Amino acid sequence: MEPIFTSKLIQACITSIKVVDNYVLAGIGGNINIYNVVSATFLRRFKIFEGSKIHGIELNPVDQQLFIYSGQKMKLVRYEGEYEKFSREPSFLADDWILAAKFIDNYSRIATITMNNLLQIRNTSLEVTEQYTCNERSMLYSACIGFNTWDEIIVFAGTAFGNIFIWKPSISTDKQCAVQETLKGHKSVILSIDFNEDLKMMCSTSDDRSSILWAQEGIKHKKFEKKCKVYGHQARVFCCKVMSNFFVSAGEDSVLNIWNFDGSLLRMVEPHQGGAIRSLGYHEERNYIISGGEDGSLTSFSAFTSVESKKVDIMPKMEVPRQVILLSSGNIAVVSEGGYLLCYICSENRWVTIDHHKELEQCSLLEVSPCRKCVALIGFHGEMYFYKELRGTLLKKCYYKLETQSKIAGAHWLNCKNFLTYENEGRLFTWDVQKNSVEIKYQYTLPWNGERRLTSACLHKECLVIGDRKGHLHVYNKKEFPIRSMMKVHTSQGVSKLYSISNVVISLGRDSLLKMHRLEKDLRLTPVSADKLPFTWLGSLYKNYLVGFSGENLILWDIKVRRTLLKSSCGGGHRSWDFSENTFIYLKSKAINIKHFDLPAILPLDFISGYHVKEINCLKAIRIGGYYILISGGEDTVLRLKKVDLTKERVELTSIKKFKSHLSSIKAIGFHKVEESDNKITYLIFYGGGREQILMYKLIISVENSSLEISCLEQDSYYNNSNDVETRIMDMNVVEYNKRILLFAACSNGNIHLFKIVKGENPDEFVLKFMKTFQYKLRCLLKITSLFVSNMKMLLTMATDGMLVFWNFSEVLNNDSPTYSDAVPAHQSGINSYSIKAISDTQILILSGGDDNAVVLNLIEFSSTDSTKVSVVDTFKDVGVHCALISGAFICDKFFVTTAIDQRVLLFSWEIIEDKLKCRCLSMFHTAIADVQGMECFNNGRLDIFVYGNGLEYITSRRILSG
Amino acid sequence: MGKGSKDKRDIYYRKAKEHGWRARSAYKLLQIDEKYDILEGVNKAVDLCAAPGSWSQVLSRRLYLNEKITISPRYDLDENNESPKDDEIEEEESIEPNENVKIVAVDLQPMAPLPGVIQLQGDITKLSTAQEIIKHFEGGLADLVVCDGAPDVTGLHCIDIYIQGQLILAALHIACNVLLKGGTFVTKIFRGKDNDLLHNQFLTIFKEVYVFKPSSSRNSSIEAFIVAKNYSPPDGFDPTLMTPFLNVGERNFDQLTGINRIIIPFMVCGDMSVYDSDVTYPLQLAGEAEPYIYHEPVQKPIDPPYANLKNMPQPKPVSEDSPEMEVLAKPSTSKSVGDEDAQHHPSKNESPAESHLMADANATNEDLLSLLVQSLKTDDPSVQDSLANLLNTLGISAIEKISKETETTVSSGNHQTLEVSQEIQVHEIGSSVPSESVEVTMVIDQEQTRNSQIIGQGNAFAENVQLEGQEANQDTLQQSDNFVINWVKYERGTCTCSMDAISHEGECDSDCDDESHNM
Repeated sequence: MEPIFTSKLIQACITSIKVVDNYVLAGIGGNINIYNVVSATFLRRFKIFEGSKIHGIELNPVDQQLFIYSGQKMKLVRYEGEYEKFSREPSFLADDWILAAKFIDNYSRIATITMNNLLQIRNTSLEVTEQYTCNERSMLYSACIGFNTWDEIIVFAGTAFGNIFIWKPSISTDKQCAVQETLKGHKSVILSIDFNEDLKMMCSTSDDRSSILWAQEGIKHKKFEKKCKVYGHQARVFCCKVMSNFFVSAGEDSVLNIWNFDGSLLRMVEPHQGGAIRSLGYHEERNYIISGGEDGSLTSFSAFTSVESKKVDIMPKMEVPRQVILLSSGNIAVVSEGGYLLCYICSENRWVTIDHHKELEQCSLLEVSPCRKCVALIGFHGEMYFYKELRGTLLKKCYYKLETQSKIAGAHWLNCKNFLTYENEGRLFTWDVQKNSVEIKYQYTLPWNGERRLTSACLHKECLVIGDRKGHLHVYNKKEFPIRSMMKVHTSQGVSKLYSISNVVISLGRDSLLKMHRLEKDLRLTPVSADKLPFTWLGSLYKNYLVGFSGENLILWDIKVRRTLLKSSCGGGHRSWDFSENTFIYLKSKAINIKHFDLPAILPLDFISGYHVKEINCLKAIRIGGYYILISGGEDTVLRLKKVDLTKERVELTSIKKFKSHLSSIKAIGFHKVEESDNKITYLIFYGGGREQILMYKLIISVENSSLEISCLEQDSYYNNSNDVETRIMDMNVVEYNKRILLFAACSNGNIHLFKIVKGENPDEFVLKFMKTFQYKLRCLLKITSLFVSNMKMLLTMATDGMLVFWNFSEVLNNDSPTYSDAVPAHQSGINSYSIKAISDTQILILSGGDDNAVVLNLIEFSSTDSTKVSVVDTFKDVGVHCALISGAFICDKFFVTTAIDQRVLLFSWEIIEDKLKCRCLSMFHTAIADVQGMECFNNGRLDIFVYGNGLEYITSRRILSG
Repeated sequence: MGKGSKDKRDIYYRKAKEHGWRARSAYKLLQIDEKYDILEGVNKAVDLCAAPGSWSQVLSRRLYLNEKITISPRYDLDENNESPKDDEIEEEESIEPNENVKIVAVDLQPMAPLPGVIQLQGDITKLSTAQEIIKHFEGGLADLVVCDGAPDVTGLHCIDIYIQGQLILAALHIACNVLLKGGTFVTKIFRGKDNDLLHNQFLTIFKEVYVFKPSSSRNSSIEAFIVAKNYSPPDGFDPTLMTPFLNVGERNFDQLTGINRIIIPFMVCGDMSVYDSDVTYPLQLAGEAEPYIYHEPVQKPIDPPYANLKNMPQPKPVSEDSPEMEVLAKPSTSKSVGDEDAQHHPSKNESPAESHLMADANATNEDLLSLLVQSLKTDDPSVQDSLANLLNTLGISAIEKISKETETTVSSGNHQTLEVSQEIQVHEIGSSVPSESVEVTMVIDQEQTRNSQIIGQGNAFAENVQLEGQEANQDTLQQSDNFVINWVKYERGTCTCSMDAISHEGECDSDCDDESHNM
């Protein structure tokens, strides 16, 4: 069979990293991508293997060779110059899975260690010249070869049972080697081993969540001793690396820990959006750590954080600080226990006393405006002092004494002009703060919900939005009582902060949730999105960053990239803290602590930006001009929009947007074109999955100067309002019928929900209207689609019973509990993929693939008299070409393509001769994507195929359709 | 998720619990038997990788205890009145166990005993294990060898499938050494890349080979089973010489698509009336007279290797200005430094920072008690902090009561507070009644409001109440979901909703001198 497909792009887990000089060589699938470390720019890509992952790269700088291995495959490739060219070499097959390899004896030979604890020595033609076995033939999960001359070589073998065997191939009898040392310390599978030859230190990581650093100690009998054992991961520890001064462990929990040799944790980083970390590299000169994640991202960051800490514990007049805030100048305003307002000039380490209010000795509130230039100092009994920042210190503006009924319990700046105070009894005032005066604007009352505690407030479109301790949100206009109250928006600890940003209200809670809301015309707040972060206490927002606390640490979180930038020990949520720009200040044990961060230095450099963290369950592609827009969703509950630019010489995948609104895994995506003009196309996008949740978005793509402008807005959602959280939406189909847009959603309990999409009050908006639910059987539905045959619209459903089930549209729409009109058996069990091709008015071809490993092509005829009855004219069935669940199918003129979990992509030809199907397998391609969940296929004269699963591969065919 | 949640999602999981099976995989063997009659006339059986023992259980009940087990839903739907009594009947009438039957279960781990099953702790990659098995058969050979083992998976599919392949070969090696001619071998496989080559190797030593997927195996699952019947090794085949590590390597793929390829039939359990493992069934099944009752798992999971993780102190990063950080500050090129370092502190500090007991989301009563005991002994504020944290993670309102009653600072009121908390703690944990927990939240809420007012009176305990546990607990999750339910009916219009929105910063409209500042 001739090769017809070529891989254009792979976005998948980075399984190996090699850092040489200023270059990073990264193994992605069977490709090696080369990047410049300093500029983080992509240079070149070379295809090494088809359909398998590169697990290791070894360098021979003398002869300019790379030994690259992938499971049992291996290659010795010659490169030119600065990795500008790779020679084409045949790949060799080892007897067993290669776990580690090394050039030895002045790069003249290569040693490999395989899973069955077998060491093989190969010459530069990759022929085995010698072979040594260890007397312990345990199954290995990891291994490492130490040193590079035959006499010195030692093998570290990590077993499934937690032991590490050390053996020396040069000491053997009959090519059989005895174990020299057995290191015991782990309780379970050893997942990685790294040995630093200079330090003679070895690190091992395990399934038991621990990492152990071992060092060769002793003068006479050098033995490896446990130097330290560290626990810093909540899941399996996948990889490690021993550097000259520290060692690194990284794992499934996406955490990368930097430890010193005594086992103290120096840093904790999470560069991969929560995806497991699979590979590590280190650039010594720049002190950069490079990591590759399961989300397909490749990231480098400086090992050194450059955080400057300072502690100010002496104040003038022996005062004790009560509250601290940051001013726009970076100076710190402090109110003390003695009622002093002071300003600390950071650059000069100097204190300036601004004011003293004896009546504020008992208690006071210090609040700074969003611009950090206006400061309010509020007393318990209604004393209100307003200050303005001027030349780095504060200047008093005005004073007001409020006759309070009870104590003032809190105050907030709504913006730089509007201020809010509230009292214990629930009385709330907003103030108009002028240059030299302050006036009451409105008075409000907090509703009684068991308690009245305001925790946050903001002004949004002329309305006041407040959040309380119970987690409720209240919206006020000018009336005393709230117009709308939204209950339990956040849980347990209430709403910690509210922001009005462009046209949404953002609320932060201490329940890990960052939520966005929209204010409707009737002053309701409706949810736009909810993002659950990996830490509970969300403190405040600063640009795209969020400051929060997790246990004893301050967390700086990048909202856009969804990752932790910084975790810094500070003792936890403080009585008084503030964050702005690059400074975090907090009070702890009567001292003011200042931390300066060098944000640009903290920000990781992304060589490849991340994609889905877990499996991609569904992907739809839209072709517009020279672009493909990819919409994908998966187990990580995030919907992502990416763009593939075909006009560029090197195909690239660029991010457009991502949405984290779905509560559970996303299983199906549907889209429908609603409007099209010369330069603007509007689609409705639906996605659904776990918890029977469906979200509807509007995607507007405008073409301007051959570049694309893309916007995506949430429109509506559906959510099953019962307690049944286990039912999943498995597939969706959008169809236009009698000028109505209908959405069918097939569920895991055999139900089909029907919706119609109508325009809302606002002509721009679309609304999802639930119509009815009907049932097929108590069978898990897997696919749903609609087709048009002999002037009839039909619905086709497929479930785990392997039947192709046809429903008459009018029956479905008009009958309350419709029944299907006919069913055709196609598979022994679930149908996981299908594709349909109309042959004539009454004949169609249905290609289907199931978890019974079968590819089935059915030629189906609809009865001319009763078009609800179907009959199978002929069937082609192949059960041997794939050896796993068939998850993708596509049929076009003369050809069809299938793909399966076995990572094969197969091209068949088909023809019908006298009602008989003749099919032939033409070509096979192996994709590097594991756990293939499906494919999107386009026929543009050549086939463009996006195979997705544990990553994404874009492959194209030769121009096959012409000949 | 509630208790019944997994029961709804997975009918076989639930049925397994209801019928006393140790794991849902018992149904897989039963379905294989239904299809291929593998248990017919079997007297000597071997279960490899047996733990937790659900397949041994099937062998024991079907062969040794001579039970009839029907697995179609009719069992539940029509004869449901009898079905729960099945087990009882045996106990009462005690059907004569078939003493001719010998079942040997092999695993590395021990498992709970089963009637008629001889347990053997051994490694299936070793030939000695096979010899040991034969010993139990008193010289005879086995009629049936089954293996439902799976390796520790790494998450990288290619490696996992390879390792599973190695495991199958090890099992096959044992099977070849203990099977009677004409015997049957059943093993789990992962359907993945290039695995059909492995399956084809079975054809050289078995007359009939099927790849079977029971309907109790989920649609998305990559597992399937090889049922190899009629063991007939070629003449002169010495199984002891067979290497357990056959080459399962990647070969020329043309042989797969060529004309002479051998295709092993792939079968799925034919009876479509059985339960669908992908369906979300209601807890109360139609036709089931008995009301649904939640059943605890028959066999709780054995201690995972990371079981003691929760007892491990979670390390906190050292502060940025500590001298330890210097190792990161400079590019570490000097190699001599390392040699010195290697001599330093031999294996000091093996369990880092033990004195810093910290709150942990997985904290148990035992942890709490030990902390309490420790805190009673010491005045160490860090212990007090941890205690408060821990109590907080456990959602205990004791703190509130303490601080109310004492109204003193920690240092002076230690003993008093801790006694109180100890009392309350036992009560609270013992009865986690929802109504009470609501109260708890409220109580803590008040405490925190007081703090957020920054009145400066809150004592150290109160401050610590604010410290969050490191992980969100399950309750928070559920409540947040409830929130979404409340919102379902709201209408929507257009709105941008991406994270980009955040980068638009609020404009400041004050009379500040500088107009161009940010929020």
